[in-house]
Amino acid sequence: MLRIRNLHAYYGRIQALDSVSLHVRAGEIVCLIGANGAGKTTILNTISGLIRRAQGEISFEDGRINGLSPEKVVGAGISQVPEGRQIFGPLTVLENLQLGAYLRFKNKEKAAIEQDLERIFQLFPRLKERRTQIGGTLSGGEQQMLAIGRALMARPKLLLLDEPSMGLAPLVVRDIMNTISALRDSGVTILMVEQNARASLTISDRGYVLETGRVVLQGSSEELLNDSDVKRAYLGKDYKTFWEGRGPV
Amino acid sequence: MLRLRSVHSYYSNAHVLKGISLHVRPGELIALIGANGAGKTTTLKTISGLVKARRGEVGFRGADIAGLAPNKIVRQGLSHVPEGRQIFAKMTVWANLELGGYLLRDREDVVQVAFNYGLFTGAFGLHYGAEQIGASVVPSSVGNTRRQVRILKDYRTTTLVCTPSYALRIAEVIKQMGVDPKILALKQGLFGGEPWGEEVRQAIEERLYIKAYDNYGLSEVMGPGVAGECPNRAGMHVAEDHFITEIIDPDTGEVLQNGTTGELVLTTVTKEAFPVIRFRTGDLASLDDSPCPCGRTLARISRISGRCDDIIIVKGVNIYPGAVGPILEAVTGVAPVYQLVVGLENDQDFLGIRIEVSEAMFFDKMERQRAMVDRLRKKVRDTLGITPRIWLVEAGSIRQDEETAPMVVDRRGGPEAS
Amino acid sequence: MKFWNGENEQMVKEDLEQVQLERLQSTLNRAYKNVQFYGRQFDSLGIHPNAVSSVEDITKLPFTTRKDLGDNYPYGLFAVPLRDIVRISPSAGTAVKPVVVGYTKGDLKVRDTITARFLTAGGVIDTDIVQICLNPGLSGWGRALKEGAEHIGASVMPMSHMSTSKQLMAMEDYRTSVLLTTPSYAMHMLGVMDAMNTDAKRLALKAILVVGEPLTQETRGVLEAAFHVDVTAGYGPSDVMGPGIAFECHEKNGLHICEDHLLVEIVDPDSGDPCASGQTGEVVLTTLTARAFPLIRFRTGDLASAVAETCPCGRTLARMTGITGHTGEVLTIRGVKVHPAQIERILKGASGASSPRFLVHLYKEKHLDMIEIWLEITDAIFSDEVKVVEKALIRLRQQMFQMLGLEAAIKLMEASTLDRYAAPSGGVIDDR
Repeated sequence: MLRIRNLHAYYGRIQALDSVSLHVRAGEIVCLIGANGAGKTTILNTISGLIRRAQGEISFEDGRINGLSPEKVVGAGISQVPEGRQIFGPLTVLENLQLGAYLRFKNKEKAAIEQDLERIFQLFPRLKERRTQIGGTLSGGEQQMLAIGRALMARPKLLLLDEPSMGLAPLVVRDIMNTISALRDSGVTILMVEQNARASLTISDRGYVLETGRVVLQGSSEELLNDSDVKRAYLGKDYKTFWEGRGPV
Repeated sequence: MLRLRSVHSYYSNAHVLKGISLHVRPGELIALIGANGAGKTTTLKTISGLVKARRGEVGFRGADIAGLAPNKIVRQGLSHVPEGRQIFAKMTVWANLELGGYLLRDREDVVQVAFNYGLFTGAFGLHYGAEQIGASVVPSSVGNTRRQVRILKDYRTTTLVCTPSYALRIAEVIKQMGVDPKILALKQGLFGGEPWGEEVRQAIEERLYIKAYDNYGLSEVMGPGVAGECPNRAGMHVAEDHFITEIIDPDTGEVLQNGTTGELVLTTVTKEAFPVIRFRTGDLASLDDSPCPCGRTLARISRISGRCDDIIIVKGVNIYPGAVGPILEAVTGVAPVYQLVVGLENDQDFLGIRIEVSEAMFFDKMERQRAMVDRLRKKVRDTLGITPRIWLVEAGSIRQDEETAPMVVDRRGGPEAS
Repeated sequence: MKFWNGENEQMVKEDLEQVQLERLQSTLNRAYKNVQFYGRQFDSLGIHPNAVSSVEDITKLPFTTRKDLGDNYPYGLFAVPLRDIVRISPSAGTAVKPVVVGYTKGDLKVRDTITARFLTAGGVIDTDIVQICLNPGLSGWGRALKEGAEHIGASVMPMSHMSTSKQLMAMEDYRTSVLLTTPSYAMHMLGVMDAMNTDAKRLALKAILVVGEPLTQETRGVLEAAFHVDVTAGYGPSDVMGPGIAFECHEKNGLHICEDHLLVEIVDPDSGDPCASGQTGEVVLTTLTARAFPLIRFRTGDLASAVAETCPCGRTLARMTGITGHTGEVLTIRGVKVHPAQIERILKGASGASSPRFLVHLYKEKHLDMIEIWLEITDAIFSDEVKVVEKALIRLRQQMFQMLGLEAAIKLMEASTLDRYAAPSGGVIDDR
């Protein structure tokens, strides 16, 4: 569905991505893990057209999307949920969601939009309860749901999620992850960036590990969860913690 | 239900619990919180009797259980799930190795398995057990001792797995090669496959500068890891969650009391493919279910003190002396008179077979005689898995005192008696 | 069952290429970062892993030779800390220094998968009873095959040092359904069966899978007719990566390469340039998923050619022919690769002679490769006492067995008699 080959991206003179290749098949959840500054968000921003100074090849459903404007990328079927949610605080929940369908309003798909709203309220009953509440007064988890819901209003085939669990309490993280799983089951393909490697590898099919703008490891999520390097670096488990306390010698 | 009053406990001289009082009511879930070394585990151990309270009361269902043996406390309805429970949860067949030596606490360990990888279960069992723990395993197998020593040195092996006699052989070759054993990374050895005693242990430890641990297992039951020593090295803990152990009188079959030496009988309780029920191992040992300071509540068997049948073990191979006759007969065509001689050379076992020359085996030509000896050697090797030394002796030299001539002469115990 | 990993064995070419590129790039990034040897080699040539932006770009990278493996003995090429390694395989290797290969738990799983593909393609299923008969020199492969077969769920009799008649007895008694061995040993078994008057119909055998040596169509024909089974072959380079990285399917026309785990190139052994499809050249391997022991453009010394056509079996994995020979002087004896220099080293060590003069004589006896060392008598070896000489010979034989896993006969030759043969000392007379 999405195929990236040899992506190079720069922030000024700093190279943020160094020859990154990856792919996402239809129906998959793929996650990108790595430390801060490894280039994870840069990949999402490059796909969605927010960063346009990049070399390499990005193709989506057999068409190249490099260099397209963000609107065109959305039009092609890719929506991004940015890091930190970035919902419109002064607007209501409903208004926020309607904004997500901005492109489609122009196309006068009003009936279809209503249908989608219903679908999103089914997925997130909490949003329905709070449809008239001001976005800025929602809890962190609800704001994340709203941000996802807003992205879904564009009817994307591929959803890009940037740090969906950031700043959320563990129980809420579990809710969000369950929601993402449910989204995939409803037919949306997902590429997500996560600091919480364990949570994201638990629901994803495959993962890529980035270090300083390069992919150093890729594999099925199960393989990555069991990989010693990944454990040490991203799951916060040094081998010593496994083997301590096994009786005196 | 449970009540502690001013309990004081010590680890040798260290005063760990200083007047602990607490209580647990039926149906409650109580957490003990504290930093490492604060005494949480010691409190549990004191309750379950693994550590004796020096002062204070431990009351359980109205009775004072302070000072009772752990097994008695268990019988009163109080069980202790020790720390590191993954040892039990994950213990599969081969991971019994963990019981064996506690040797591999660390995935940094490099384990050299110098057992024969073949149909014998020893090598594969210990190999996979060590891999499961995450140690690096070098399957160096047997043979070419100089190469083994080079591997020990170059690969920075920390743990040696082989028969005790082969460990001595390795020590010998280390000396011959002028390698200083102190520079090796070796810190421990897990030895098994043949009976050995404290003198051999001492010799191995002195020559290789390591700690030597015994373990016990047998192919029919599970391979290695049925039982193994903990650092206290006072008996081998049996993996009782997988095997039921009995010691019986080999003649009457009667179950003997703990502490009495008899034949070890094993029943598997988790094995699926090939369960054995009250399998008579033929090995002599005694059972001890007193608590072990290491914290394991698993009962211990003594080191194997001998066999109760006439099996002899040479290089880890079980041999029924009576089974050798038909092998020889297959080559010579007649049933020869023979005697087995087992001895040590360069600290390694060897098997010798003395065979009386009969008419059928007599050849004019030296060459043909030698060819037959070669065939005999090969046949025994193929059948028993051990290459023997064959001595043809004059007719009558064994038969002379047929009544008293033993079928086996074992010279490994020390200077030859005869 | 037709495929072990249906999805991966039938990937669309374009998808496969994407996966290969991704894995190649991350392998290069890891090797460059974690293995000093590769880091230095790349730096000295001014190459950075990011120079590879397609699978074809691999030709920009330098080769890795067996000598490099030996030079980095023992742990120099490991790309993960030792604590992540669970198995260290000492391999006699054909280089002067031995080669040490390490595996992480994940690597062993990959190897099991690859081996399972090979076995599945050869017809092995979970209810089979598999018997492994390999020379001790191939014990690493013996373990790989055992674990691969266990991965499928078959019952396995691991390799062990038994006589052929005993192996045959076990085969009949245990109702072995699959035999894993070398082509020559299978032929040898056949000969022994004839001598014992054993009928193959009494065996439960249904398939023979062979490794270690090239399988000729003629040998395949003989074995299939005599045992009434299918015979298929697997390929692996020496002891480095397991016995089935490329394997035959039931079409028996070329070996499918596990391209999602390894890249195979065929290059001209002299120039190092890529060969055209169908042209014979040296097999060069790059690992795509190995964690502990990544290899980049490793020159195997084996000669083969690529098979261009797609295979009717449904696998999209590219094919190569079986091995048709070796570069350099490497000999394959009973599946074990031996370099004459290794023999010289053993002779030096065991005979005490500083520069022993010898010839290696290879011949076949009852289909089995036999190796004979013709050693010129020198003072260092010779003694008036027959016993002393005999002992020296026994020691030599033992060393040969322990270092190479081969039983060699040693023949002492009068000084100067070796000159009769055209070969120089250390040379090989191959009468096979």
